[in-house]
Amino acid sequence: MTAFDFAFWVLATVAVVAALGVVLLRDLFRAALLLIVALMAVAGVYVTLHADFLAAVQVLLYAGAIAILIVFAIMLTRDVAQGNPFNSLHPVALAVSALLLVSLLWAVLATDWQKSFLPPLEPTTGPIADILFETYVLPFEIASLLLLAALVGAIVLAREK
Amino acid sequence: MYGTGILKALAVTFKNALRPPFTVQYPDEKVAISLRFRGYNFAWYREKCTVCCTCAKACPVGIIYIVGRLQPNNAYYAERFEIDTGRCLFCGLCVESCPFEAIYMGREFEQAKYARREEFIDWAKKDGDPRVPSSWFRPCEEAGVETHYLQPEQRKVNL
Amino acid sequence: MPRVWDNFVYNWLAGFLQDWVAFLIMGIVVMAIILNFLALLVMVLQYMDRRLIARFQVRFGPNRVGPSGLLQPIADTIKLLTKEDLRPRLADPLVFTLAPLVVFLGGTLAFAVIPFNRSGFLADLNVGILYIFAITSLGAVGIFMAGWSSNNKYSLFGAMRAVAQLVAYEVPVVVSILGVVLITESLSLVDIVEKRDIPLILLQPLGFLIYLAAATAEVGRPPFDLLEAESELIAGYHTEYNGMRWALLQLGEYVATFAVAAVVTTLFLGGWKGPGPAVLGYVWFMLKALFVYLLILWVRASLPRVRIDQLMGFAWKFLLPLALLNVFITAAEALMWPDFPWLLVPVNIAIALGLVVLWSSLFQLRAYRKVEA
Repeated sequence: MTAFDFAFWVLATVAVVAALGVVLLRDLFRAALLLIVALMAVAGVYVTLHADFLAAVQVLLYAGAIAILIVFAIMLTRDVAQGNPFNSLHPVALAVSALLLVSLLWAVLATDWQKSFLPPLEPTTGPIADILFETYVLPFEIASLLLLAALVGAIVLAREK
Repeated sequence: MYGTGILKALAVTFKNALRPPFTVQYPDEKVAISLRFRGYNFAWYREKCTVCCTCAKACPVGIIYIVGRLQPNNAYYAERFEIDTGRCLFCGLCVESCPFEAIYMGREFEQAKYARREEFIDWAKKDGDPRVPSSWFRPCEEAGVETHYLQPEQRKVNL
Repeated sequence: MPRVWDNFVYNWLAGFLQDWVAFLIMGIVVMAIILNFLALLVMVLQYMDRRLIARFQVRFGPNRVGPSGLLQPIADTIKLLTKEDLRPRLADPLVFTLAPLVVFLGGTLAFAVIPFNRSGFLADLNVGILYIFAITSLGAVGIFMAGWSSNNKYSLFGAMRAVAQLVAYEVPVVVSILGVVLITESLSLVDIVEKRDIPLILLQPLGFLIYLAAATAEVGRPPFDLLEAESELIAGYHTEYNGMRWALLQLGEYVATFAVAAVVTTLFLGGWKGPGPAVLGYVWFMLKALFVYLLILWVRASLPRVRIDQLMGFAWKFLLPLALLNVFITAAEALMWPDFPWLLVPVNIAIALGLVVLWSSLFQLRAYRKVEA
């Protein structure tokens, strides 16, 4: 058992426990905080997989920005501590999540996972940039166009009349 | 144009940083006090007082206690003259009301004491004390200001 | 990722222990050293803070405890550690207790990758800069936890402001250092320092100014300390904290500020570089970082606190466009003159000055309007 293995098991345990907490806790604020913990643990798993750029971006965007926005949204919600007792969407939610679980399980089990014996790339930033800006430059640009459209739309919606 | 104000503010603080501090380290250093400054303590002249008790009547809190005795030369002598300055308002009405300018406010301003009874002035007990009654007139201060009473510019700044 | 643990202590430990046990022991030891260094550093910084702010305001500052007041931080620490541990009855106990730790961690973890000397760093990540920005933004989560769990409206206001401020200023912070990354072609802090012989502030004066302003705002130092504006919010997010937990919050704030100073030193001022033997690198680094800290302090002593609309306008209308322009200009220069000749230094300084002056004359905030009741 190497240091990376040890770190992986610790981080994986933390991630799973925190994710369970996100789903099971009644206190929305604590659930959001546990979401941050889960995202951080996933970032740690990326580190053990030698994906350092991905890990940093994971912390920067998910734990740093998106989770904070979620927390912000929670704060602007009334009666956070009570949850939502008048929710009638339980059966639908159950069906959707069951579908998701089944499809994910099917994907995981049906995939023929191949183990690569190549040494991990040392600096991953450069190769990622190469792939992103050469091979997949069109999807990248389309994604940025989509984000720009979303940005403009948000401004139009939020603008005072 | 925005931004010049920032530079101005930075220049002001930079100049300030080069100046010696203006703070007076009070118990160690004291600034000179004007001779006409009226502080918190009372100065009373036995020889001017006629025991008319105007001050005691004028006092809104009634803390001046006077007992007089008629002397053979038909002048009154104050056997007791007491002020409980612990309850004093320092309104100065006693000073204003005195027809013979026998009571004044002196220049001392350090009023803190360790016990309430120390705020009580009993001039009968202070007879013969050279510092009493007055800080109203001090010959030593006419000659020159005491050494620890210095202006901020004269102080040696220790930083 | 290079294995920074490969030193003789680790090898000696790994000789008779499991691999991961040696890893763990080394990690704990190094972390303990860094934490103690930071705690002592904060004592020094805090003393410096109070003395220098006092001098900027023509005062003495603390000078009674010990020679020149040098023992004042120790006296303060003892006082804070022995204070009664209070917690509001309606506070969320777990989150309330954890929040100071998270705030402290946000600043502290940044020091894992900051190179104090040529080999004086804990880890040389390939994505060092990204890591620093990612980790320091976690401090906002801590501030948010503190504000929410205190169950106090002022704390909550402070936390809301902190989050809004962080989301706004994260963008110019990240964009402003892209120029440095373009010049040095690396995200690793060690590479950034070693790549160029001259301090990068000469090639990136605009990036330096933007980063300094935006990072000051991000850690919530005056004049951008809206998250703890005393005149409006009592003490903002740490209104309900006292004693040790308050001390930890303060520690986190100072460490985060010093992290900003250290990052500025590393990115723009040439890090450990300086004349003299290699050991002096630590001294040079600390001197430069303290100088940057002094700069932040000076601004803090000079400028009044900004209004919330000024704060947001400054981030989105002033810093962000200038940062983007800076990236474009630097990219063009990198394409045309890849080795950045000396001639570019005065050119870049002139461009920076011109842009700042131009933009500040264009920059306007909407006049404050009274809301009709």
